[in-house]
Amino acid sequence: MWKWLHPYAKTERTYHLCQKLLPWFSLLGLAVILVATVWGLAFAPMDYQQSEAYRIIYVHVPSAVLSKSLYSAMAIAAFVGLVWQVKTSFMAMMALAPVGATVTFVSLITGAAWGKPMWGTWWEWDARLTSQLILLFLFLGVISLYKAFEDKQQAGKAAGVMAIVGVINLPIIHYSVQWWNTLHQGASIMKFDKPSMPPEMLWPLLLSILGWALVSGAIFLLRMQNEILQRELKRPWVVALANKSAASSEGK
Amino acid sequence: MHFEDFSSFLDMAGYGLYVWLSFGCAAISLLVLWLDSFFSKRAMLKQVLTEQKRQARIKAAAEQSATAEKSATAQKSATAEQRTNGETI
Repeated sequence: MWKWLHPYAKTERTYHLCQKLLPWFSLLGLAVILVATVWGLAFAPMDYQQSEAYRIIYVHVPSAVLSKSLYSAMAIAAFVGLVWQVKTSFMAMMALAPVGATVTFVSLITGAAWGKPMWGTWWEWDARLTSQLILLFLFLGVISLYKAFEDKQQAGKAAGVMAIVGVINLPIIHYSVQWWNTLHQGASIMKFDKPSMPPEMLWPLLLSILGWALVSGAIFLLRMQNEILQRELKRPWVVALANKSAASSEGK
Repeated sequence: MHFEDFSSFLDMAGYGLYVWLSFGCAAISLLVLWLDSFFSKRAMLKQVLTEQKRQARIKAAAEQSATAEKSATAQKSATAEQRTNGETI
């Protein structure tokens, strides 16, 4: 496996891999997210307790799930970068951070819009909400710490350490609904004995999580390419690439 | 279809504001992030091309001034008018 992975430490190879994967992630992600959202909004049955307001679940849960997954991915990239000094891993970390920050922001906004009708308040300093807000600050912290350094190797190391230290927040978010008395409800999908949702509601939810994952992946691939380009603007392969893409866009 | 008509779909049993606020905010956030990523990639590729053209211009100017100098030293008897021509290049 390592032999297979090794060439992707080279930026040019990684760029072309991203280019190859990008249309698949974009088109599939867009299709899945559209189907899941329409299904969730218009076809799934109504909740007996929360009426139609529960439909916010079809953006709130995918964004919240993705916020934690993207943070884990970013921390893994940071770890690989710090330990094995793989050049592309800090770039991956910096490509993931804005995606994660956006998704976390969405989860907070949709949570507030759900909290207002159900709990009677937009915001409460409750354990789940506060730890999720800290996750947003961690993402923003990693981005700003990286931008604060002129030398990008140094910047990657500093931001990487911050990303790894911030991992402590993930279990806190996950178990916050069990450890403390919170307004936020407990898990409803990740219970293996019996998910507390009927399948007509559960399927669009699972599908929307998949859609969000694919779309986040597509944006990550695009940003990964940007990170590579930014670092290698003067390399001959980038110049050749720019000429090729300019020629193909003129041909259209 | 769960809803009977389009207006009840928009109304969401009175929760329309919250539901559409959530979905709208999510769509706008993802769209803004995607647009930013897409246009910064385009801008960078464009930047590479302008830089390439600039380098080509610098190279051409250097070659031209080198040939101009050469001819200027070869024709030491050249008139003042010719010298100013060489400088304007």
